[in-house]
Amino acid sequence: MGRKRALIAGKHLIYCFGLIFCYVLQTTPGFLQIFGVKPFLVIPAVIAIAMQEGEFTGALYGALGGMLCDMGANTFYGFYTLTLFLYGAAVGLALIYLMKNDRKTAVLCCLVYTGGMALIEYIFYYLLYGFAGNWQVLLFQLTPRVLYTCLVMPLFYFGERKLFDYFSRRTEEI
Amino acid sequence: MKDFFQSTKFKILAAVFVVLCAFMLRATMSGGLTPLTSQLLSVVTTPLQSAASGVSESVGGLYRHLFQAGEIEEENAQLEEKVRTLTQQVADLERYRRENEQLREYLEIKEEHSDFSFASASVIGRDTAERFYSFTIDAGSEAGIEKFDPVITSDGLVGLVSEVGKNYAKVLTILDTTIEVGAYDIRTRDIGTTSGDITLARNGQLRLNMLPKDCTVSQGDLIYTTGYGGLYPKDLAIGEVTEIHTDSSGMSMYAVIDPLSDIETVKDVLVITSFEGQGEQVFE
Repeated sequence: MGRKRALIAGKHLIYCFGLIFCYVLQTTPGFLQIFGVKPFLVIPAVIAIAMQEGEFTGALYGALGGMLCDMGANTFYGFYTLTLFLYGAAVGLALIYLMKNDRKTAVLCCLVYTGGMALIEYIFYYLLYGFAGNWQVLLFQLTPRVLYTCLVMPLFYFGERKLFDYFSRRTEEI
Repeated sequence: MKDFFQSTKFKILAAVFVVLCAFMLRATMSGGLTPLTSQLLSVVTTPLQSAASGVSESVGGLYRHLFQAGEIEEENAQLEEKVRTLTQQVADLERYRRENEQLREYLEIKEEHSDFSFASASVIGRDTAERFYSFTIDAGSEAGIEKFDPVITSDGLVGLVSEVGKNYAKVLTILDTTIEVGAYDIRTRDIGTTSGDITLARNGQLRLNMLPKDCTVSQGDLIYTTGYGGLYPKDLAIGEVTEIHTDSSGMSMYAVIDPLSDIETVKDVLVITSFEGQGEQVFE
């Protein structure tokens, strides 16, 4: 029983440090930057965790990932925390009742969240203020960021699945 | 699905949601005061970010050194160890040179503006969701930094502090569309306001708006802060005029400015924590 608990604790420790590590890489100047565009790394990690762990754990890691994203971003505090919290729960539930747990679903989930957030950011931070040429932000900054993030999503999906399977197998063995 | 909404897990998640909403409301109502959660997380993340940005910065130089070592290795394998030692020395010297440069710049600005108090900081984060090259620095309230403090390099104005944590602060640059700075042409004394522009920001430029129709501002003129408003000190260099245009209303002119500071790649900055006239008009 004790070993089982230790395994579960170990898994969650890896998740926590994994998210912090993703945040550090995400904010490292120049890291993975192509033509001035960088991918989100925390968001795919949270989605991958929610897909394997379900709605409860997904929501909690969504909140943690969101807090990290809020620290780096110049948006109002809670923008990412609340949305990722809700989205983590939603992804977990969708996987139970609606969708298959595969790579395509992972990319779709990533596209829906990052695309939705990009649209909200565009509307509330640029469009409503009426800044001249605001469409350029959508075209050259937000859309490439969404696509780039979706491109790295499968890596997180397969990585998390391997990790989840490994810990599930080890727990069953006990 | 119905089971989930009746479960204990749902009740716990609902409680967490309420707590997160409370944190968000507090952060909004306290006017940008960094929430407790961010303060706690920053204790772990800031040192890691600092290390990561240091590694990222030195990767370019490291590749160069490795390449040279490879060439030398081909010529003479026995010198490999010596090259490695020299490479380490070069890296050390580079670090000392940078520190020396930073201190000299600090001294020069200090001599020019004796009323300034500074906190020096390094850029440790440029997030994916950054706006107009905004960044995070490795110094915060512990170093005396407060919200709205101006951020500069020895070349000129970079931006202002938008949020402060204990050991970090977020900086919005002058390329941001929400940042306006009172400015004047040092040659013609024409006064205007600089602000970010989405199109120009992609080239690292900004606008000097509201210039009189009959102004004589021309290409190559230097633009400095007026100090009006108490947010920025007087006579900080902003940039150099590259183009002059009539604005869309036809009533005034605007100039395109190249900032003197390299905002897109800036690595070390100085935060002006106090200066003569700070906050006089803004907070009265």
